[in-house]
Amino acid sequence: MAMNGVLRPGFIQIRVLDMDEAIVHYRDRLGLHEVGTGSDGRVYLKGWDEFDRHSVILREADEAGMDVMAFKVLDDATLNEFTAKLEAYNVSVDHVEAGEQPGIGRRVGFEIPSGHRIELYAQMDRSDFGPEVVNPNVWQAEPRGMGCTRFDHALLYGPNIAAVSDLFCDVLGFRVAEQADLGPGGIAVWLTCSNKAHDIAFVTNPDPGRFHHAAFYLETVNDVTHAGDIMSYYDITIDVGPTRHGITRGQTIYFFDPCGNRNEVFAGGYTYYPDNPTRTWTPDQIGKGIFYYERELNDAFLSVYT
Amino acid sequence: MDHVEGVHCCTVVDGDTTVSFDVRDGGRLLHEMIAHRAAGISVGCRGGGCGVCRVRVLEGTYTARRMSRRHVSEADEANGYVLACRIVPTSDITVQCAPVPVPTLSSA
Repeated sequence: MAMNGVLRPGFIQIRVLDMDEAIVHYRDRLGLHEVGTGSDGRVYLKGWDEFDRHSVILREADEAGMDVMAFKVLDDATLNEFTAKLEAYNVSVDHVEAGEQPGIGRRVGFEIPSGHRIELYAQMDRSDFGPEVVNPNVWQAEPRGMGCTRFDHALLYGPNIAAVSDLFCDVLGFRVAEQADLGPGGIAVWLTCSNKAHDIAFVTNPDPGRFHHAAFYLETVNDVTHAGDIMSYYDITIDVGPTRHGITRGQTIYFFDPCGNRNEVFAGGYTYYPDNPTRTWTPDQIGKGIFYYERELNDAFLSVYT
Repeated sequence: MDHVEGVHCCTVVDGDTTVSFDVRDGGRLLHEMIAHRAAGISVGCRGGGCGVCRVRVLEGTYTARRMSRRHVSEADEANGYVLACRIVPTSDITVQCAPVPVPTLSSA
């Protein structure tokens, strides 16, 4: 597959209630590298296997949740093409100048019908702490804590998910890897712009702009088990897992950061190709789709989010 | 309940139901409920973010850590509304469940 257009999830900006606690969680427990703190107090982090400067931004605020998820596109010309396509689709776009965050080029932002802010950008500085490129070791320094390799995907809650799915597919070139009928009024979609089973997912919720989780990638199911060991040792609240998703087939634990944002460690998942048919889950089997071993949703899946 | 040094009694009122459990000195209300295998307050993220454990304090004193303003406005807070996962009782305390309504899919 020639990947161009939208390449992958680039960064997510998460609101936290206590920055000191959040740094300990994301740096020492998840094992992200702390890149630095901006002049406005936002803290920048990245996974050890990511080349770019940062992929996770923490902003202290008076409520938890997600400010924005951004995707990196191939180059500046591609960014211009997507801007024109969005405008032709009657999406109102705004422009964020280079330097609003350290080390990143200009961004194009827009609100999708679920109430979330999405941004696109083409340039970010290379990290000094990314994978080596000459005679590369497996890692530049041994992973810490859960050893999360990268920011992998997010699941967002809001209304108008069919329209959101159409926008991502028709304008940004995503494909629907899996979809679920949740019963009266509810759907869910798992969208990919790559070879991954999902790069972003959405579930119907009447409340716009809600954040279900940000997921961080681990290489193997053994790493997921190790992450669980870290969670118990440090008394991190586990939502569910270790288990497997029927959807994407990834191995997983859902857990919470210190101010209640849900995180996921995620390993595996199948390889997606653009000619793959969309997999569909019916309302009676959705429990198995979300939690393959439990075969039922827990109460928190639909009701606990930020 | 007789007063035990270092322990406060928490009473949770939910409609006609009343549940009581001990809260150790310095313990967070919701976490103490869970630790004592008690029930009465819904459990969510346990970090002040999701609003599931919202209660109104009817009687008693407490200290509160930051709670998502989305679920506890300044006016709410002045009227005793808190998230049970973010308060530490400093006396015996009585709270009433006041969860943020969970929207249903069909209202989307």
